[in-house]
Amino acid sequence: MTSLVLSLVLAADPSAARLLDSHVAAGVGVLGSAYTVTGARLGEAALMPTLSARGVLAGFVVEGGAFVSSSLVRGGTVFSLTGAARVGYSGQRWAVVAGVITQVAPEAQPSVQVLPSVRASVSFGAAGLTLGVFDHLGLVPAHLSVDLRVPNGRFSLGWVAPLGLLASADVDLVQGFGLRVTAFGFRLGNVESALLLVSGTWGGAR
Amino acid sequence: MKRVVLLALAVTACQPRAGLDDVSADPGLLGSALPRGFLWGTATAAHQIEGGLDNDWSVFEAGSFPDGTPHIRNRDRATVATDSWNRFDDDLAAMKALGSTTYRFSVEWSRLEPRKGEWNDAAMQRYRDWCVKLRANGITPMVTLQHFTLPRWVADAGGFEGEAIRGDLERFTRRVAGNLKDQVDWWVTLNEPNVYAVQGWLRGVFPPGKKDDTVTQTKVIAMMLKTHARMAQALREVDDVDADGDGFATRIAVAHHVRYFQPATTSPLDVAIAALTDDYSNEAIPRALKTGRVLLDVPGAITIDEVVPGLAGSIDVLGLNYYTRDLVRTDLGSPSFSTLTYRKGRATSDLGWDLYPDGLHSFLVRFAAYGWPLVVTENGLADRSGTLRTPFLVQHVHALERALRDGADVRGYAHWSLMDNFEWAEGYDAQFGLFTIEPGTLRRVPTASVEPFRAIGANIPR
Repeated sequence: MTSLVLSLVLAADPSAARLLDSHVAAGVGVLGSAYTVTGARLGEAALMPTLSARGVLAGFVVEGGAFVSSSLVRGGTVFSLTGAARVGYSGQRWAVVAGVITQVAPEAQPSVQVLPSVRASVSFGAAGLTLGVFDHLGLVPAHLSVDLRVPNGRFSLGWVAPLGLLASADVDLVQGFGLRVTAFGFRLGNVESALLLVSGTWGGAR
Repeated sequence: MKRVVLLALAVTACQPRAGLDDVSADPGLLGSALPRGFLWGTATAAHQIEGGLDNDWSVFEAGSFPDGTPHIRNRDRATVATDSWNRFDDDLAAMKALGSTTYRFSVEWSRLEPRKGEWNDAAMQRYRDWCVKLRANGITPMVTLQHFTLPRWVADAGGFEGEAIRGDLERFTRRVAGNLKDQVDWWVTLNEPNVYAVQGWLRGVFPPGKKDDTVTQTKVIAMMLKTHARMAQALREVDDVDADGDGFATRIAVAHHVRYFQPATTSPLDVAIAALTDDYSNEAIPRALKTGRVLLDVPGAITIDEVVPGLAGSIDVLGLNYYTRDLVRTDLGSPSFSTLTYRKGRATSDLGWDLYPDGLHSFLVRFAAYGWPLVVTENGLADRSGTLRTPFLVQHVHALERALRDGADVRGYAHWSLMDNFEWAEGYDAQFGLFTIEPGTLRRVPTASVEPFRAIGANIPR
């Protein structure tokens, strides 16, 4: 079943001439979140296996992704499953996707939380800009990133509002298979969040 | 040796449950790491134990919500409560059985000043007699001046929604301090301003029973802090007698209710709302007491940013009332932006509260950063079966000892409560007492936790 989905996704846009490409990624990350108060930082870390996929057909984009969050602290945050679904369009120089992030946490009340999610990119040759709101599976409130394409991959470095950094690297290792490393850290008021996510990618690095 | 064995048995007999985590220290030595002179005892409040009172709660207890549900579970009333007004000697005997060295109790404004300017001198004398008896038995009185209740004439004038209460409570403070100053050094001006405001104006389960009014709720907290500043100033001026000879005529505190707000999930929204809730509920009051600046914010509803004369430096000790931890889940449709729940699968009190001893450690270490000495002015649980109280006690004292090792200056611990009593909206169902009350006779009956409590106290260096 997985291979069928993979084949369909990868076959969706054989021309691969657009800003966004089709791919599947699977990885695992560690997410730290906390809020700071006088004399203390109250927070914890969670393990975060992720799976995401994007299909591009005639410029039309469908993205999906999911991760589970399991606290690494006994008695910490409750288990949750987060799913992302976005649709949009990708030209050769620009792309926009928008949708929703839906988190289900059976132990929480309310158990379902929905956030909007938007991502817009524009390319100027090898370089480009990306603006995201609740991007990266809803974990980054807002970011503006500079993208750089190189023959064997893509690198991004961004500012997370109001204070933070986001960096990602997609590197093609062998034909059709690559490695993606994503990291961010930001502070919003007295809230802090940081992620390190390592994924394998199949099908593309854009 | 007997004490060690009893404590060890009490702890090992209890089934380990998530939330009452394993203690690595020898429980038989618990208390020995507390500092010399550490205050060890229990806490009560007048309306919950005295009986025979006529105040805003007496009115509220008789009422119902619009859907017909009574304000108080089972339509209970505090008419008699534990009849402590007439049974103080029984209460004192219970304290002695516990090996107490402190007793936190409140003097009832409605009893002492039933009508504006009319004072009940006989009642004042009885409170004074209590203090004399406590001290004669080696028990340091810690007197709370306002613990949730108001005289009817104060409530009718708007209570903490109005301005007059500042002057009225200052006069009351001067009167009480003038009568008790040679017996009392430890004063708690107000009990849990945040709980008082949330229960009365957000949840509507305390008088005046208003719901979802975060604007007035926030104004009430600010007014309570302004009133506290006047009360503290009055205490400094009137109480010039060092009753216990420790070099201080007054040790002024606010009993601040703290809850450990844990984001329900890793969602950035949940973390942000937990931070917002923590700032409003846990941080804003100590920050105001330290800086003199009241800064309270409910986004989209109200922001108060006001410097209050006399507020900075008004306390000598921060009192912490700690019970539980909440999971905070974003709920933007709620006036508080959140829904608070408890983790499933953990040990909970009869009220469903998560028993989380690490939270006490966290708050003691956290608020030590402000530089005040700390006193745990309340800590306890509703436990009708009595099976959780001893492990709860042991683990929270253990957390307290860890906080001391981590640098917190903790001077005392008052368990809530000496005996089962009228637990506000929960009526008599919620049993927090180290002693239960025998129906009919109102006799104080020791629970299985009395001996462990006494044994821990006996380990405190003298």
